[in-house]
Amino acid sequence: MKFTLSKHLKICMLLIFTSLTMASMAQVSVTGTVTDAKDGSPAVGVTVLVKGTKTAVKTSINGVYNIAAASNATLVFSSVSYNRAEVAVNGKAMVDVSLTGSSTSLGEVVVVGYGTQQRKFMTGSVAKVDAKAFTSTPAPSFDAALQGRAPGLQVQQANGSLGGAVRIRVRGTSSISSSGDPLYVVDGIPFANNDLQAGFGSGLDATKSNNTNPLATINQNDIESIEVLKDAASASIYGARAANGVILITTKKGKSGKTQISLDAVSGISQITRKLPQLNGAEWYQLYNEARVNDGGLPLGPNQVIPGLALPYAYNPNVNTDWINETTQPGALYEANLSARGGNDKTRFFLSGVFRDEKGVLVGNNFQRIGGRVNIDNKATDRLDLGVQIGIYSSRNNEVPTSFRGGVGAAQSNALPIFPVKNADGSFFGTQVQYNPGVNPVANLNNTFTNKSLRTFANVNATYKLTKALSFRSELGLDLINQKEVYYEQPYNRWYERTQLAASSERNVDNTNVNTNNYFTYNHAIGKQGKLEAVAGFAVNTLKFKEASVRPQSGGAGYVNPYFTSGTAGIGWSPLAPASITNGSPVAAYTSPDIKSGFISYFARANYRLLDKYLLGFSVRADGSPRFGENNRYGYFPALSAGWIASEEKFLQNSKVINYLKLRASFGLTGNAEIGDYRFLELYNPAGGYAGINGLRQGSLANPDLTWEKGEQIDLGLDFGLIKNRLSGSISFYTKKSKDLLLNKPVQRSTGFDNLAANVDIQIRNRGVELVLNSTNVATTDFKWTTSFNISRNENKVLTVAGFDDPDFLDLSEGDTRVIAGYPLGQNYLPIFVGVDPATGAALIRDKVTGKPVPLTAATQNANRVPVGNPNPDFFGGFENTFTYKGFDLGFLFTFQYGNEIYDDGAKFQIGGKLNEWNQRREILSRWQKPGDVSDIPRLSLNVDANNSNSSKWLFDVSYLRLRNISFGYSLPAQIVTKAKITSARLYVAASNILTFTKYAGWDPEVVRYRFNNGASNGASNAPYLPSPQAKSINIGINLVL
Amino acid sequence: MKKTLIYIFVAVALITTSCKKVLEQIPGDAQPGDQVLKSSANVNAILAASYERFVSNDFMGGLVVKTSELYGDQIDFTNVTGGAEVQFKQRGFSTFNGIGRSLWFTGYEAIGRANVVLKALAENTYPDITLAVNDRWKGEALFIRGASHFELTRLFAKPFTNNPSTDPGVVVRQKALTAEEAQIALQRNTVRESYDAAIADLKQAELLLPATNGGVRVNRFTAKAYLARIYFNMADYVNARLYANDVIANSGYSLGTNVTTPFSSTAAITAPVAGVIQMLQADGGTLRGTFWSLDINNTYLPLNATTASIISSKGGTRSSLLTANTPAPVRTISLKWSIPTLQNTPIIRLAEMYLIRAEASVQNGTFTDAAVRADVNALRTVAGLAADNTTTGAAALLTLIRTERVVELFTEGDGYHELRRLKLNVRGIPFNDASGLLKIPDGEVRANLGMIQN
Repeated sequence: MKFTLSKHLKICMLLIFTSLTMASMAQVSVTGTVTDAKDGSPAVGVTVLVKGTKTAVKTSINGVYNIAAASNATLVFSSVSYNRAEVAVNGKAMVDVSLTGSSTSLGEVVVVGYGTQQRKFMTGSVAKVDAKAFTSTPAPSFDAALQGRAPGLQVQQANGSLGGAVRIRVRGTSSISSSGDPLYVVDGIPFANNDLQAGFGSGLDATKSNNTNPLATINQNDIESIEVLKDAASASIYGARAANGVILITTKKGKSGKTQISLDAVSGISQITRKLPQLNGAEWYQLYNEARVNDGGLPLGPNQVIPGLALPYAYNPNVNTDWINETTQPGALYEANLSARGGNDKTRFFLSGVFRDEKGVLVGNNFQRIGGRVNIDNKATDRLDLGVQIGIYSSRNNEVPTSFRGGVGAAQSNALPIFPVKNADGSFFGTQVQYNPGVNPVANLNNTFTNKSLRTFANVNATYKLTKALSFRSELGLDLINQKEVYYEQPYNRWYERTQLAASSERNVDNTNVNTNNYFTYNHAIGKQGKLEAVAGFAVNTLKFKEASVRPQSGGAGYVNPYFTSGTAGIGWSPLAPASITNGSPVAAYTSPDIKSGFISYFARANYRLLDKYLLGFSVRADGSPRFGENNRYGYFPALSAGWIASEEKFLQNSKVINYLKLRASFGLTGNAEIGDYRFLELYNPAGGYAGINGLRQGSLANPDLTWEKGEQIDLGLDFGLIKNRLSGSISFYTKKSKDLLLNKPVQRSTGFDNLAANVDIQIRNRGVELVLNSTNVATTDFKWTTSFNISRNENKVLTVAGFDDPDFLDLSEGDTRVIAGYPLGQNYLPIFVGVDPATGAALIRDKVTGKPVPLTAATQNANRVPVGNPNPDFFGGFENTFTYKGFDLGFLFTFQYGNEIYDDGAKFQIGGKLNEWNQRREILSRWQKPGDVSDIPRLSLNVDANNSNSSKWLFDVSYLRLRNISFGYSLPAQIVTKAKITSARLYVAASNILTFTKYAGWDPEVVRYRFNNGASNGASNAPYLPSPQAKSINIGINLVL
Repeated sequence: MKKTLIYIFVAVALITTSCKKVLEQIPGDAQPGDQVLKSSANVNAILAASYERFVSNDFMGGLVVKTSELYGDQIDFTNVTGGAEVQFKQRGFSTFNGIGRSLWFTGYEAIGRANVVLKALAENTYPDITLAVNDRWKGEALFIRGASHFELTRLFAKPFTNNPSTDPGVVVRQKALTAEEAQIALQRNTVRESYDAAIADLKQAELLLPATNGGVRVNRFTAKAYLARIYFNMADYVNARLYANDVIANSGYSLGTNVTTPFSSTAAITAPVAGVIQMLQADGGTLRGTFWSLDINNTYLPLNATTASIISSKGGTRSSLLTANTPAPVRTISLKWSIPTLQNTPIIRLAEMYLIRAEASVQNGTFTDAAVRADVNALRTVAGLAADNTTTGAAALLTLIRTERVVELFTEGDGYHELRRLKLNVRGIPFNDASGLLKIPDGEVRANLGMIQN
């Protein structure tokens, strides 16, 4: 009591003293506007302090402040977002200040679900990537440009084919058979990223070996920023779709002021990063004969037809074809992007148009993108804001077959170097025989497969301010994809009996995604020191898919007249087709049913902060979807988080080193709803009938309990700013557990079913740590040097396998990958290769029981399989530096991964397994030849049971350090640009992938398996089969601002 | 402000109610289960789909016969060099054997669909169909279920003549399953239980089915004939004789006058074909591709020399009209499955009933030589052979009947089951040697690793 009294007394005294002191000086009321030096926008929430006193206010939403100060006082403007500034009042009543941005990212505003937050007060784990990451790099699509830019985000470009898939994982893979991709949200609208080309068995699968990337249609220059929501605190507001993380894409908005017209033009060249070393014709033939002799035969004599080839052919020493050279080419890029940005205080706009034309490094591969965007914001009244964002992007992708489909895949397999490209008569080699055996990728690349995609985003929104604290926002968005694929096969590539039958197939897909978000936002002080930011609302999302295709019937139908190249009218039957089939239509048509799905969602979030240092967050979402069984129609996804800004505490307030320090923690639930449609329903499908009655069969059994896959996430983090915030960063620890994974669970076939969709007790845990550091090393007027570094470690482990203990039970069926308790998802399951027996040249593997070497046979291979390999990197990340000196700028980004191994699924055939029909990699030259030879490549033979020669020998370490991007630019000096009546001009050279350090001897260490489905993408991505090369490129560009 | 809030709430309420249907989505090319069984037309369609599986190339219309012949000792294995078939030649079976998989999967699909039909009929009344139709459908579903269990048992289990009460048979499935039930691991029932299940179904079918049912759907006498076949296979000669006699005496079917008639039916039929108890409207592709080729030199499974010589010496028109010799190297091939297009496939013929009645009479010991010879002579007459009026005594009669059986039923999948009924060696291994049996396929075992394997 006594203590309290004295405290009160002290405060009273202080107040009295202060007022007396103030009264004794000439007090004036100072007002002013604080703006951002960068663009003149209001600087909100800046603390304005009368130096040497405790008098302080904060700037309003318009950047305006009003403070009482002595006429000779000095005002201190400070904020995490801006560099501190001190300005003397000098008796003025109005002091306007323009603040330069702080080098730290702590002050930035971060887009989160249904709102924005200041990074300083965030309790979740969110990585932000700025526009500059995509605009000055030659990346083929914005998602590929994310590589190395954000911790916890693993980005793998599948290969160098244009418009090809990019595999992205946020904090690891947490599903087996459902999608492992994050949810993409563009300007608040969930956005389809599934490969529409991959599905539904309509027969148009010319390039199915390589998924396409629906994100590639988007013009990356239109993107302002990308936020990656990683933990439950930030992602749970997206509920049943958040388990794989959420990627928020915000497009550029208009800015008030003089209209800025910006022209970006870039032109470049590219080529493959590395060429797979293979045998030449003479070497192949020599090795072939060596194998013949090893097998007890005689070497082939001159002009003797080589037995066992796909077509009869005798070795001709004059022929030596390098098929990789024939199927790859130097690429070229041209892109022009024109945008305008401007407005007044009522209306702001952003307009852009893009044209991009890119020739890929694979022969025949060409990608073109044309698009436009209009973003307009209007302040209709004091209370009402209106906005519209419309983007229309059209792309045309001439795709080429890869991997087992041909092209560069054939060039590294069945296109032997002894084969010529053309016959003496000028026709393509290999096309003269009935049933083109596909050994001539050059001939096959004359088939064309064009994928034209028109993607429309349209988003209108209105925000109505009900009170100062409460506003309501309504958004309606459309994401529409109209895709058309046309596949034309040359007559010489398509045969029926002895007739050539050209063919053309078409497929149309419409994917319609309509979404509305409606929510209240409430921002208000609670008590004197507290602040509440809350959001509550609902969203409805409908998803529709429809496809239709036509093609000639296989086996006898096509264009009998080779002049025809499109349309169904010319499709007829080969004259050699038997009457039993020619009675039917030569045209086959397929249409899918209307596949409809969607979500009804309710969400709420509240963030409370006390004294600007104690932070508390809560969010919850309820998601209902027709994908869930009727016993589980709605899922609920809460998240709780807390933070403590320790640097606001007294003991740190005066620290010279620590300017900002925040501890944060979050826990929450998320779900994965990408489990497919209609799977819980008992459905009866059309079936074969009998005696004139159409049949109906029970196609699936009801599972009313079917549900989303469940995620539980815990995140602990530390955000910091040191040394005047010049070094800032963040470290996060997380555990992410996925449960109730959905599987096509096998049942006894005597049930009449093969499997049924069920959530089973399989758990996968991703656990890891992420570190990001941003540093301003030098910041003088002329010279600035910044460094960013991030590194992530994610440990993926299957915890339980629902009693499916036999690894073969959960066979991911590609690349010998498995789901085994105690190991990462997609663990390779192979016998351990121990070498080659010097006496016999036989491949040896380790006997699982005795530990002794045994020869590799089909039986020993099966019996001695063990979990081996490391499908995921031990760590990965990026390291970026930028330097600016006067008008010059230099930036480079290294990306790296360490410790992961791929299982090269084709290598066993390329190094000894299929010597009789495939070209071989140069490693084979060091083979075992005679007793006593020490080699790790066995004795050559033409009778290798290659399909049963899997072993750990084909695991390769694909650690790498790569110069992902480097750019060097020069901005013309102010005098020149002013004379030229332009605002700025920059010329630059940028290059990507030009330097790679790796031990891997294949094409490129950045490699993933082609993927058809979620299972392969989640579990077998480290097992490439005849992969395609990556591209490296150099671009020159100009950026003019008028 | 208040007004605006009200507007917002009204709008919200409107949107949410109108969007409730977002949650109720069904595909356009499938029908949800809760509605399907309420319509009799759908039940009929499911029954048709059950038939379709039953008669398919992968079951009664093909692989059941082909597998029996591959198991047996009447064919020539020269052309069998690879694929699933070579495992029969070498008697090293894998759980992945394609023939084993197809038989098992298809047979159980037929059973599963039959079970759905039976469930529908048990749980619903259909005012638009008569009781007779209701009974007929039920009888047909029971027949398909019973006959499928029987055929699967005799192809995947040791013979009934071994130790039926302990030998593992097949998994008896007599109930339409829910998702939960489908996940319960079930062990194989014993051979006796498997046979009992088949017999129970067929006896019920016998009571429900009409005497005639068009040409290609099963009727009362199909059930009776199948019961005769099953009892005979069990060496229960009393019941076998009873049912065989019933069919011969009461069905009104005739043996016809030409041995080729049962194997020449291609068009749609509405009445029984002479000599055939049950014809199925099948594709015939598997049988055709196995036992015959347009270029007869390329026939995959010719008859072996022993069988060929018996047929040529004792077959009459069955040799001249139902077999052919290839050019050198001369092999004899069966012409029973030689219609180049769709061929209606007889799955059980009247001749078999005569052979069963004849042998069962002898086995029962209550027979007259003349009556037994008369049964054999009925077949000989159709084949253009003189009647046998001389053979006497049980042993001689049995030899006569069994020879007649080979000559009559070659390439119809009969010989192997005769060897096992009579406990004779099968191509060098004992009749009850499990190494001669297909494995229970992977698709069955992987969801129940404890399943007893052959």
